[in-house]
Amino acid sequence: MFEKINKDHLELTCPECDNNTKVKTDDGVKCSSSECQTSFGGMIFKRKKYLTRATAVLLISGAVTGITLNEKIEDERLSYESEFTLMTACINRYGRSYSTSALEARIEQCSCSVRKVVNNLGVDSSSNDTDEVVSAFFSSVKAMMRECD
Amino acid sequence: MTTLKNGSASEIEIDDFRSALDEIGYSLVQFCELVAVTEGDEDLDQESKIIQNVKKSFNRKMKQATLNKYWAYIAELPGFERVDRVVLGNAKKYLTRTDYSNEIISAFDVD
Repeated sequence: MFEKINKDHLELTCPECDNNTKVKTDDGVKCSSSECQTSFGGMIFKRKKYLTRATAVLLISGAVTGITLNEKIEDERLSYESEFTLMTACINRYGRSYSTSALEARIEQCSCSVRKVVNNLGVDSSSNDTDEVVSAFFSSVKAMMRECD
Repeated sequence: MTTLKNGSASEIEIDDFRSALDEIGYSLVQFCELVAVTEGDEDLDQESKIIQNVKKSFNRKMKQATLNKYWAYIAELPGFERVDRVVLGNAKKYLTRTDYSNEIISAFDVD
């Protein structure tokens, strides 16, 4: 959340324009706890940037299809290519035979889990790291597969 | 659709397959011959070994992958449309462009 610099004042980074504002007082800024009293001098405080849903959608779509998508998405769903890929992976797996009713149930389970995870995309994420986001996405999918069963 | 944890097909799945053979009008012996002809490379000794192995595989634990392969064989037979069954190919073929194919497959690998 913050980095320490070799200065006696603290700085706040504007979440809008990223400019730093210096905060300096005569006796410095310290923790108000009488036991702690740690000085905040030399620290820069910056609001953590959370992953937006649109960014997460682009990132997951790119990871699933292996195609880098730069254009702005039109709705808050994964790309058609990635939805197809995920559904195919979920239904076919390593090659599978289904009775009609089992296939219908599987389609329902797969679409339910993908829909629920995509609806939550970005909400819990605090990282822009692709591997981290993709890994969190797929562990949510796994959990939802059980919930949607 | 209860696959055993060790990758073996369950008894129910094997029974389903044998019921499908009945519906097509194929005996187990005819099916073994079909596999032998498909995999035997026109070698009579090889075909005879395959017939024995396929027969045996129905009496002991069969791998899920083997059963899937057998489904793919009978899906090509003319009478298969009478069977209430859909046979689908391996999804790995759709995942060649992504670096996350294992993660994708494993996320959905729950029964």
